[in-house]
Amino acid sequence: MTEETNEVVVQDDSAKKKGRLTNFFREHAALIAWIPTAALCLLAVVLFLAPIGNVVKVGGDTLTGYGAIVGDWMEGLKTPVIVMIVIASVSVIAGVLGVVLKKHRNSLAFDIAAIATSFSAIATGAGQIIWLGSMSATQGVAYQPGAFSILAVVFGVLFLLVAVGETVVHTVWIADNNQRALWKTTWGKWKGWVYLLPALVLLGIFTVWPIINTFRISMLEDYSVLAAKNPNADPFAVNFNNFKNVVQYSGFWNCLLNTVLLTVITVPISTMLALIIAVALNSIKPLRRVFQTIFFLPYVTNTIAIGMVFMAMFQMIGYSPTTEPTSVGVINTIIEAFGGTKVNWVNESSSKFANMFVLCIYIIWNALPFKILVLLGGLQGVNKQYYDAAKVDGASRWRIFWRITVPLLSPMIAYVVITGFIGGFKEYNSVVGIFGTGDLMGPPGSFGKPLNTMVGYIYDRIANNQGRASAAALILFAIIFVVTMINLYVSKKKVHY
Amino acid sequence: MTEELNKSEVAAVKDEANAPQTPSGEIDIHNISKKQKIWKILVQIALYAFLTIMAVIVLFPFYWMLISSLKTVTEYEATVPTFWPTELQWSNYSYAFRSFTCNNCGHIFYNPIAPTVCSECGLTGAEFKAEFGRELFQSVGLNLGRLFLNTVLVGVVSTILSLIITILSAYAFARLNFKGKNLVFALLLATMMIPGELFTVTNYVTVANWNLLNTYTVLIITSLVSVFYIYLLRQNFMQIPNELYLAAKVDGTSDLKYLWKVMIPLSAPTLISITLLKMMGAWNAYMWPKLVANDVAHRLITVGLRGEAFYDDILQKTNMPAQMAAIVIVTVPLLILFIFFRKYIMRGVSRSGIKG
Repeated sequence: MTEETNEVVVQDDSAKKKGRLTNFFREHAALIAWIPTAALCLLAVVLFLAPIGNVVKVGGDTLTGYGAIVGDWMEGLKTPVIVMIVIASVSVIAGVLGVVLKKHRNSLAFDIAAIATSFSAIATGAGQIIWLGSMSATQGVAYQPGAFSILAVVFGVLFLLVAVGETVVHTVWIADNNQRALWKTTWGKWKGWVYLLPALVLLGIFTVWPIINTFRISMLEDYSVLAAKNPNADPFAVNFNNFKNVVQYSGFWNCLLNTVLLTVITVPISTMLALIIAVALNSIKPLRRVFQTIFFLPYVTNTIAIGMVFMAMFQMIGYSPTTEPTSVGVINTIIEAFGGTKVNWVNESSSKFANMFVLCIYIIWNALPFKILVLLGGLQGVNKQYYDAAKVDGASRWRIFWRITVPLLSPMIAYVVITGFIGGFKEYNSVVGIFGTGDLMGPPGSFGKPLNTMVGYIYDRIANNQGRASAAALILFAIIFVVTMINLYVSKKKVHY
Repeated sequence: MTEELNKSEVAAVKDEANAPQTPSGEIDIHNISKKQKIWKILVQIALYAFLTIMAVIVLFPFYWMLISSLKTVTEYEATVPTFWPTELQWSNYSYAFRSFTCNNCGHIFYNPIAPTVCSECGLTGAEFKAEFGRELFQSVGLNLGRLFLNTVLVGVVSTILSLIITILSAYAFARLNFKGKNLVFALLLATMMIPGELFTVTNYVTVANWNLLNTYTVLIITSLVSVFYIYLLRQNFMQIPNELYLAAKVDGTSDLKYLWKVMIPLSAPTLISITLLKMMGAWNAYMWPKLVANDVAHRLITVGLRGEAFYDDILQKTNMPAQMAAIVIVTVPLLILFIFFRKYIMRGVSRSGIKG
């Protein structure tokens, strides 16, 4: 405190002429900063009453006043107004505290609050004008923004200028070195948050809020956006009926069964196959990179596009249950070349077993690249000494594989199995690729999406019944969570780190 | 010297252990090495044979896609499928890009040439021309072109914005000190455990409430922040020695300048990986775009490909070779990208395990 006063005195002595105004600002900085803030607070309260001036013409009648459209107006702009009032209150409190405690340097905090408040005043006024304009355009009813809306924008802009000017004065003009240093450290403290701001805002809206809201709307019976927007509709009942309806729907169990089958069949097979290929790749020298590149190719493709190619390969051309096909398709041709008989894989009235077989082949084909990549990476990190030691002991290749390679690779194997299970439970695109023609999710001529999966079930419901969709999403989440926990538990026992 | 000794010792022990011993107890060195050599060669042959078979299986769909896209419809439907087209039908590719619309009823025909009569409203081209003085069928062309344009636009914009956000956040987590940093970071990592489908439902509600359905914004905004990429880049930033930062601070370099001049060039490989994976993600996106922007103006390539019927009104059936040509057009850009950036893509994938 004493240092500060000393400094002021010193400056006063050195520059008397410009010192007067500067000193005035310095001594009353908090108070001056508080004036526009308080004014903005007043404005915020006034704006709450802004719709008074709005005029609505319905048919021949002209309705004016708060009651006419305040209900609709509140729906559209409730949030910005509440935010503004909160900011205004906080800045008023800060201003009062600043004056009471004589913490002049903290004036920056409510300078910023004043700027924010001005912005929300502009947003509220402008938002109202735009909203009324769009209402007039869509509903054919003439809504006219009242004087308050326009005033809000005008005053908002004015106050913004004042607040910005004031901030500049506080930070640049009347600041002494101590204050500059203080602001610098303050900025240093908050800089991290500013850098994080865009990410946090987007994550808040599209990641954190959904976690909360999905629980909320799963409890609202048959929640949908359309019904929520309709002011005449009954409020949604709060209960567990969404879960009940989802579970009672037979299609759901079919989706769950398909998903579980596809996962349980493809994950072990693709992991084994990937392991064998990775070990083989690791034991050759020439052409290794070429093979590695080839085995990675399925990863860099469009799942749906190549799914359509698989469909074409298994498809019989010109087939219907009553007519013989003109061509049995390339896979059946290969089967017949080896002496087998043709199978109806994906055509009309094909068996579910054949359909699932094609799906499994495709999913394994698609899953191999990632698994080979990870496992081969793990193999290349294995210390060669283990193998030398095993050879010294005369161990067979088979024994080396099971006793050295697999245990040393077990962290990687656990990783690909766990990610494989998670990915398997989210399987959808490969089914769309092969059986998605016309949204059938099954062979031609089938009904009720016989090959749909859990994710498909959720997506089918998102557009019109978000209540059930979120209930199904929560069920899927619970399943994935439990399966992952089991996986982790098993790998804790089996994995050698 | 000692190392060499050790090596030869080990080798000797190895040979001894593997060697079948003669009844007299002596080791026949010549025999063993020959036997071992033959065994080794046999194993190598088996390995190459196995890998070649697997490689053929992996490559076969690509091969089949390519040759089918060059066949005529008649050859495609031949009783015995040909493994190389007898006649290269390049026009399948232009077919995939071209379609005609009826000026009278608006029906779209996916034909290589304009039909003479509209099967939908029954008008013939001659009748229409006599009455209105213009052609009945108009080439609307570049159907895939529009899809391409949409996809590239969405991919580029979302990648650039996402990179900016990721770099700023990773920088904050790696270099800046502020209260609550570790807590926020831990919370962000925790959100990675939750499957994306859980977010989709509410995100649909949000964008529907904001009247964003069927816009470019909705295709970009929801996937801008990836916690995983922030994490990846942060780890990379952490490896850059702090002394550089302090030296830059002493020289009076601002944070942003330091970020731009030092951090970004030093972590370029990771940034390239992120860019490529993000672009691949945009190219392959299907579920979310289909849900929120499935109108003609904003449709993305995968949604368009799956929704496109390729029903030829003249042949009265689906033109499979043309569909294959469209699939080739969709697949090839990714393969080209892979050929040029193989290293970056494989490294990014091995770390993330996420497709896109």
